[in-house]
Amino acid sequence: MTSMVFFLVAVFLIILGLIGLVLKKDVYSLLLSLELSFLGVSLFFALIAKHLGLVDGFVMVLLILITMAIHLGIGLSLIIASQESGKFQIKEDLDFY
Amino acid sequence: MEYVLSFFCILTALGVIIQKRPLYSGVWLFAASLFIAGIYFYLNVVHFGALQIIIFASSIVVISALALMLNNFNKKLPRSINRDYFPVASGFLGALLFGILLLFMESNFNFGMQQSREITSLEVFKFFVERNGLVFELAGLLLFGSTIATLYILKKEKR
Repeated sequence: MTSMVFFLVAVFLIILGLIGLVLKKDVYSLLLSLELSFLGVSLFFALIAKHLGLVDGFVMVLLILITMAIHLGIGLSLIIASQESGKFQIKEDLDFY
Repeated sequence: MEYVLSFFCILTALGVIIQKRPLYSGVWLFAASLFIAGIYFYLNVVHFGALQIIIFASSIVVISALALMLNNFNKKLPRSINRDYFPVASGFLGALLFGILLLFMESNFNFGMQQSREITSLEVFKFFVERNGLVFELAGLLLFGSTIATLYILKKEKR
């Protein structure tokens, strides 16, 4: 039987990540906040799977961990490329009009 | 024990948000991931705790620290739109998530399924290998593709 405290921790991590996404201003911190949010989601999946006795949640945990690694790798490489070349800039708000 | 782990987990997660310098944020994230790995160990899914430490400690945090040293990420992004409503939206989202959690608690997390049996991480990995080998294959392919994409992006910009 999993403790309810861990569920609350998972929800808290997700909310903190979202708040970080909103409040942080530099790109790197935005990526880190996204990572924090993903950590909360993966913990939530693991806790649900453990609680219900299902294995499927752990499949999702593995995929989330790998997706985190992938998106951070590609995101960082894009940031480095953009900062080194200076040809294109990362804009926060796109103007669609 | 679970209260100690939860307390430090929340404390380190708060550190990620509160710190202004990105490198310190990264260090706090590293600490948070270690405590989450501790939760996995406490839940008796040892392999996932180990996986968390391997992926976070050895790859993500080290790579991001190296990238941080290579570049100046302290440059602020321009803020052109008014974002006053975003904290309210975050609070609403948080309340919604807590509501869903309370709903789960009311239904005792069952949804008509059989009540829990103990799962060990060895059982999980046996399940992966015997029945869900495709997930491993897909994950490996995704990682390989991302590596190639990263190298391609960096090489193209250097030319």
